[in-house]
Amino acid sequence: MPRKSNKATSVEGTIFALPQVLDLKAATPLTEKLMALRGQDLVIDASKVERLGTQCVQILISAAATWKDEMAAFTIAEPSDAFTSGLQVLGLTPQAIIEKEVAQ
Amino acid sequence: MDAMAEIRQTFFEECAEQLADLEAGLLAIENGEADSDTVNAVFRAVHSIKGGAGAFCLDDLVHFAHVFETTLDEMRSGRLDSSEKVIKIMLRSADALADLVTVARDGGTADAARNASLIDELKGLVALAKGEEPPAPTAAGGGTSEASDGPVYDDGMGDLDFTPVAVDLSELMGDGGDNTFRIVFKPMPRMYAKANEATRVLRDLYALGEAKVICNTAEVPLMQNLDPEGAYLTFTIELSTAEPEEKVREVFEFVEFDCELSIEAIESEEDDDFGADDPDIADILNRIKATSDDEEESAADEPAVAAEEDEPEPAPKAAAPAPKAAAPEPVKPEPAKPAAASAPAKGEAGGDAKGATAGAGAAQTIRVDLERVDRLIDLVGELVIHQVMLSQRAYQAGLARASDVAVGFDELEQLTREIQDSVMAIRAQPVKSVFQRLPRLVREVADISGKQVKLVTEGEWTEVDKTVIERLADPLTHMIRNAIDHGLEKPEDRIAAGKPEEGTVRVAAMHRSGRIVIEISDDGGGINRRRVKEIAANKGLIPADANLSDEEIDNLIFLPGFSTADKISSLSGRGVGMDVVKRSIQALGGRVSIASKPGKGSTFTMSLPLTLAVLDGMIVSVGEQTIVVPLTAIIETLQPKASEVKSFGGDARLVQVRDTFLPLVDVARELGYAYEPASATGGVAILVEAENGARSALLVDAIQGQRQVVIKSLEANYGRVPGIAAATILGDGRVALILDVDAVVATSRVEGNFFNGSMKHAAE
Repeated sequence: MPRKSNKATSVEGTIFALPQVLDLKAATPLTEKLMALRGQDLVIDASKVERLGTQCVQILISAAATWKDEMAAFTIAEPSDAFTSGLQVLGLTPQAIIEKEVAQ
Repeated sequence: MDAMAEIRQTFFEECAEQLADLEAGLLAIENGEADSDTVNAVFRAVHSIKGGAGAFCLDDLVHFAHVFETTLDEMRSGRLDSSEKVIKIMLRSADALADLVTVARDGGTADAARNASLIDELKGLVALAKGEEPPAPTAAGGGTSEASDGPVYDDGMGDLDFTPVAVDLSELMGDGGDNTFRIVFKPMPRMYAKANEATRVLRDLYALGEAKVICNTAEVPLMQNLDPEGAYLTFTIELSTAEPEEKVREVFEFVEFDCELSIEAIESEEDDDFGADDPDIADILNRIKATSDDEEESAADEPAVAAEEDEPEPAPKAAAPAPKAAAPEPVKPEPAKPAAASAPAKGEAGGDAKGATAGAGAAQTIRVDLERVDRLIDLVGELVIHQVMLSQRAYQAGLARASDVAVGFDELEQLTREIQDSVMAIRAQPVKSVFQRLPRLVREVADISGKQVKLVTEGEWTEVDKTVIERLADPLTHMIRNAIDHGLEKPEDRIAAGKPEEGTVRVAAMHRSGRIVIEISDDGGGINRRRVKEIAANKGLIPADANLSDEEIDNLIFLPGFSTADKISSLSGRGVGMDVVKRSIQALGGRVSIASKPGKGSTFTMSLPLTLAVLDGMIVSVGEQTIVVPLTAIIETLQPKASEVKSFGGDARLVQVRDTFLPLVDVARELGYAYEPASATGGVAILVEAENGARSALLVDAIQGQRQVVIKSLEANYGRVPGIAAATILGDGRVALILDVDAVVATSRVEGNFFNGSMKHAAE
């Protein structure tokens, strides 16, 4: 996917780097950090992710929908292999996180 | 595959709603009435269409929608100004999108060249928003037929999978096998709390064979309602494996009591498997399946919603009329948030038409098959008839007017009338469904004719029976086309006349004395009466030296074969315009009139009945028969004196009404009830207005009364009878015919009566 890096640089917004480990313990801190950034255009840097838990995926889906609802940009940039394959197991893709319909 | 067809139909129904929202939203933005919710709604509309289209592999539609959506996203995020130029492109794109939806539904081909060039324009806007150079038009911009085979135009979709896809898990998987299981796995929060990861369970599962997984995210709430350690995802896995079911169950051994789990073996692939290949179809399917649960759920939620806020309409968000809940089991109570989120949009909705644009369709609705409603209306019609019959018979049997039973009959009558009104209201729809097609029509006609036109619509929430609405579209289209093509002047002429360059066409709907009135007015040059008369004379429609009033000249344009256009254009000028309009309006029991001021413009006024199911009629006796004359046609009634009736010609008669003579039409003779002319002085003359506003007097024997009658089609139940429009059932149970006033008057004038070989004419 050669366009991916190109895409990341062309998107503007606050860059938020996801931590390496996104397991059960990371869920609450992740929610709090994201909540603090509400309203800002956000670029989620997923390049460092090594472990991805289901609950953090839920949070990202919710965040994407919330940002969309509030008309701010929400982008996932440079997903690491672990991030992508972690999503794959759950039947998702980085883009699907952003596009999925949630309970409104 | 009936279920599949049903889903497809649901998709297209939703598409139609989304497209309407899209256009309404864009127009609101154009008129500066937009808020952030409008832009959001517009974006969501395109997004939903794209999502659904993806599920049905409608590639053209998906690609176009994607580019459109990308552009809208720029607008949504404020990087792209909603300037006039931008909105124009957006509106044209909305039209193209609507065309693509139509093509997807009905077949045919879309205008590939136009779509390709629109895609270029849209991409230009995105580039503009990003501060880049607009990309050079792609090769496909020249327009080829290749558009259908995939992304020949670079729509930027190469690297993204926008819809959740059945992910290729081949690396993780074992070999497939004979057994296929459908596993629905919904972790509970306590499963995660015990440090069991869904991912681990799923990986173990995939190791057993070939798996497809669909992740249902529909329960994920927005951030403010999110429990970071909650459980919102449901996974549907289709596993084909060589292992037996026990092995599959083993995977869930440690989480068995901390999740909801169903494992079922699937016998045949074709059976009910169609959704599994595509998560969106599965999603739609789930929604359909969940509808019943969802309704119960929302019914239970409703009081809570209403109680928690003052919002008068506790409704789901406007853009998504379809039930959203996907999981068949309503596990956690859905918070009352939806209405709260959309509350600002609906705050000003109320009865205000402009505000309502944003909050339109917000009320809770159900889709009901029209046939069921029609059946209900039929039955209520019967009820009304029987109620009248019953009370009449009771009185005939000697029931005292003052008795308790009589009071009961009165109450019953009121009740049935109320039921009838309420049932009629079910079929009533706002004319908006017709009006919302007009902006596009105006844009297209304006483009072709090279004029600048602004469309103003008023009263689009005016309600009228659905059958009337359906038959309103064609005449309205014709009249608007005419207003632009003939009514409005060319821009340079307008400037010369001191008018703004942009012409205005106004379409207004209103209720007036139990009818719906639709006015189409333009601020053009008005009807050129001298020219109209000249043309009519040239075509032999009127004698060259006819002396006509202004009004009569205006009405000439309704004559068959009349056309003012010098040459035939694609818009109008084929001479099948206004006479067809007039006929179709009359067929609806309506009338059309013109008011025109030279230099100021013209106004066409259509007046239509609110419903085609009941009719206010005057009950009259003709010979031995009882006939209903539609009240809308009647101007007045009078009893002719011998001195006022003049004979001329064979046995034609005229009646003098004040200072004019009107033809006296003997209804009994026209309908073949009598062979001898009835005595004019012994009966009643009913003055009616027929085609061209021409008046005549219908001679009947006596007037019995006036009442609302339920219309029963003769064509459907018996066959067409010349001179008769329909039938009804009277209180005494007899069938009475409803007179077709226009036909009777027209026939009497031309050929004597229907039974002198004039069947052909009357049947027209």
